[in-house]
Amino acid sequence: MTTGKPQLVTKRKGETLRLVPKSDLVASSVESYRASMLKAVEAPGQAVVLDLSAIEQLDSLGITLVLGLFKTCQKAGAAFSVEGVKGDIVRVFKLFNLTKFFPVTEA
Amino acid sequence: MSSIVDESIISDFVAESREHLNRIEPDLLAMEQGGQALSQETLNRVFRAIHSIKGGAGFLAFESLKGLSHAMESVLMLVRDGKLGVNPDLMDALFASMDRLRAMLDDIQASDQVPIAQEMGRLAAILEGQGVEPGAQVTVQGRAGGDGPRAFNLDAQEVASALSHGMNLFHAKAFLHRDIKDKGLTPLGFLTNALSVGQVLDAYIDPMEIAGLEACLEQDLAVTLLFGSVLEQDLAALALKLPPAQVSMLDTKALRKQMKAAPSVRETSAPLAPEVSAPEAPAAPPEPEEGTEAPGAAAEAGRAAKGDNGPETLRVRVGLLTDLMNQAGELVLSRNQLLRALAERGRDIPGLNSILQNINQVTSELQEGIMQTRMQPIGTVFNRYPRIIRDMSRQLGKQIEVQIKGAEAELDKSIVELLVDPLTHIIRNCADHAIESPEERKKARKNPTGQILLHAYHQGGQVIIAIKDDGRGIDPKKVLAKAIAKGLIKESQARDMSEREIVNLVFAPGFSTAEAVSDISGRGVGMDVVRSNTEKLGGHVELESQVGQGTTVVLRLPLTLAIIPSMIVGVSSHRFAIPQVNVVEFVWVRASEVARRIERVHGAEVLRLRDQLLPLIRLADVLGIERTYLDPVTGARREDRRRELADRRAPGAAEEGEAPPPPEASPGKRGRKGKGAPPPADPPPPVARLQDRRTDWRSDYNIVVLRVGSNQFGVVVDELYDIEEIVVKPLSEFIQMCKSFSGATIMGDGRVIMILDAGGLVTQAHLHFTDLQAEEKLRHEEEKRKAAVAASRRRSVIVCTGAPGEYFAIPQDQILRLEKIQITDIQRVGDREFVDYRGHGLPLVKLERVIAVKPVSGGLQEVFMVIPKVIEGGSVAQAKAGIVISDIMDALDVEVELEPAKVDGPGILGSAILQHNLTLFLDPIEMLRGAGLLQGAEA
Repeated sequence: MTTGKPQLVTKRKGETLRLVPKSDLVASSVESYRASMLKAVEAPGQAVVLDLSAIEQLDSLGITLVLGLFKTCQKAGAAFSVEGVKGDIVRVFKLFNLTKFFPVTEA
Repeated sequence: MSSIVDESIISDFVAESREHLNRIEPDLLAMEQGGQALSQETLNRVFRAIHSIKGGAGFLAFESLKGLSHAMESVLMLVRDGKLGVNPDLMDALFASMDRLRAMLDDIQASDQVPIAQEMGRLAAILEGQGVEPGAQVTVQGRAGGDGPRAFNLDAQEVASALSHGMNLFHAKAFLHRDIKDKGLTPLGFLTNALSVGQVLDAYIDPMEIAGLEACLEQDLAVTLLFGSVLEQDLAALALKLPPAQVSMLDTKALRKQMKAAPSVRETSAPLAPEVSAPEAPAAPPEPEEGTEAPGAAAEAGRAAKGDNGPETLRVRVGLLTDLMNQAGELVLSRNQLLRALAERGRDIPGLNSILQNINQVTSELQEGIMQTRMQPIGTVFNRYPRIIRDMSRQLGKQIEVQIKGAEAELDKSIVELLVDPLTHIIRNCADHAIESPEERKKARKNPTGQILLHAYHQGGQVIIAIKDDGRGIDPKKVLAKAIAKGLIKESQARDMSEREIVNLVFAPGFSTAEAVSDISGRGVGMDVVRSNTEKLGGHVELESQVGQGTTVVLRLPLTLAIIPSMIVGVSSHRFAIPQVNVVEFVWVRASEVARRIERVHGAEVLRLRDQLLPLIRLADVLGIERTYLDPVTGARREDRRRELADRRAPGAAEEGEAPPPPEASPGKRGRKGKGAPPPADPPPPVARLQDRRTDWRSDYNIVVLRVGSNQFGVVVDELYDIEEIVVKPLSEFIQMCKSFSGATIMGDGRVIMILDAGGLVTQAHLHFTDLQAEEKLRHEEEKRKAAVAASRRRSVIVCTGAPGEYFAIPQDQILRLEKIQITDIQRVGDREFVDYRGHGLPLVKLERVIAVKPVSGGLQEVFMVIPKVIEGGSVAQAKAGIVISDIMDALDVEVELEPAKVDGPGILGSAILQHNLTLFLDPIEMLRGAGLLQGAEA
């Protein structure tokens, strides 16, 4: 489990904005991440990549946050994808059929 | 455990869980035997049962119970999904876990104290051996494209597979916050749980509902699932941990039709549950739309589709049924009393008879109906044995198959329950001792798999249970040796016993043929327990065995213990009931025939009935009731001083010490046939005074022939009444030790009478059937001998003479030839005489030289020579000598009783008068032997 202060690393490479949360997307951290993400996607560019390689847990609020990010990107016309997803979290994306909304790449 | 849960809920749960376990035990055995060809229906039944137990245990917070059933469920699911093959170890683990569940249910409040670590470990090992979490390999097809239609996107094969597995399909909605986060679950946890109880065929979140980052966290997104499970709707909701309103069952019939119509469509995008309504009213169940049905109706349809629409049943407390049964018994008694009391009034009150008839019929039907409610199929007991045998065969390294026939035969619940112990004992014996090891069976050219057949059927108002095995049988010699060694019988008794009687000695107390006390049976408690338990139920047990072929144990049991048809008999002024199942026949012995037909054997009285000796007991004597008789002269009841049935006394002896009381002092007379009795005798005519009691009809003997097992005996009673349906009342504990009675009942006239116990009477009267059978055997042999003697007495003889006036008879069958010889042909050498017979000198014997008779007259010109028949080297030959007689008188067929002859000498059989002449019967061969002329040859 990755704990510690919610920290969102944003990397911009060309038109692609890479968002890397450094701790789990769970109830205790989602509010903080939402604020950071809102700021980051003000200018999303053409593509937004959510890099989950640092996280091990994703709870209901975490999923909601990912979906909210997806929706915001969609509205802004930016492509959205999730990368670096670990085993269990891949299963959640797959089982909830979220892969139909955006590409999910396993770590 | 929460104390607010009603005790009745817990007891219902326990009862239901037990039923579940009992029901699935045969299914588990079928699983083991079915191997790959296992029916999905069987698996689903097992799965549902275990799941129900888990659900209930979870609801009632019995954690251990829940945990173990959950682990079992996980294993079963792997089997169901074809990810795990059935093998004996797996089944052992399941059976052991099932036993643990039973143990927990036995004391539900202490269920958490029952150690389950071992069983959990075995199940966990099985799960780990698969390297998968239950359900982890279920995959869901991802869908291409973005915002597709909000319909389930299904893989037709996956749906078809789910349907063929007997699954119900559910439309379920889970809210990420309310149903997942707030319940402390993670999304993965929720899905894993769903996968552990069924199959997630599809899931989606409606993208239209998703808000942007600004508002998303305040939103409770719904995940819609298409979920397949063998569970019913209510259980499915419980299993998914969702409110029931959020789970509805789909119409699988419509779906099947649809799939049949387009079987090749791989991506059936059929909008089964189209447009899921938005979560405005999340608590309300989704409206039934096209393709869905109201949950209740759907559940009903699901059950109907599975053919599960059997007769409706209702759970009723056994105590209540017992009360009803008792009340019905009382009603029957009251009806009997009412009928008796009003029998004479029928003519006085118009319509009374039809009312009585109606009450009579309704009461009978009511009582029968209530009795039916307590009836249980014997299968409830039988079904536990395949499991026991399965475990035993594994333990003993034997191959045993159990077949059950007639499991539907019904018996009263109380009997069914009490049968468990004796049957278990017999069956354990079968598996442990009777069935041989596969190697031994192969050597004996038998199928290596032994068979045990449990067969129940009705016969003559009884239920017969036969337990038959094809094992090694019981060796009568071993049984006998053991019985003698243990002092159960004496060697002298043993000589007269049949093989059947010998093998039945295994029921004797303290008998156990097991040479080594094994873990399974032969713990020193023998088949006597089986016998005593069976007899307690009013039944009997018998055994038949053939060495090398197998053994059959037969139990005969009454259908019910509560109401039994019985013969009412009378002794002196007492009445008794004899259960009709024990009655074989009635024998009426006329007073004049008593002396001829009743005799004594080994100090006991017996009746000669159709060439069989039937031991007799006098009920009065066995019960210690003073014997009485009806005086033929006065009709009075008087003490009977005769000790034996056949005792005679001189006419008029009665008057010696027993002055007949005046006629008016005589008590009410009763006829031989009770109700249909002849009217009381008129004052006897003077001639009757001279009449002997022995010939009076009142001295006739009424004998009820009873059967106890394979033995029969007669009970002499004074009177026979009707056969009545009597309600059995248990004996008070103060008199329970009275072996002669099995209960009591109340008669129509309010009288309490005792019910006789046939087996108890035998014990009480010390009847020894073996003595009698020995006697019977002896008599039979004696008769045979006499017949043989009689036949041998009848013989054909040649009557001849020696000296004038002396007659002899020689059996024809001992004569080979009769030759006439001239006196002149007789030659003398020393003191021996010879005759030339066919070129040889044949020695002659003159009678006077061997026996003390007068010499044959010397004045004769010719005489006769008898050449006896001898056997030489196995064939008939002529003796090497002849006997001289003077003349042949006759050839006769005679039947005579020989008397010892007054004449001495060898070869004299005896004498008899033949045709007015004293005739000596001769044995010619003995005679020649006496004369020293017969050597090396035998008669």
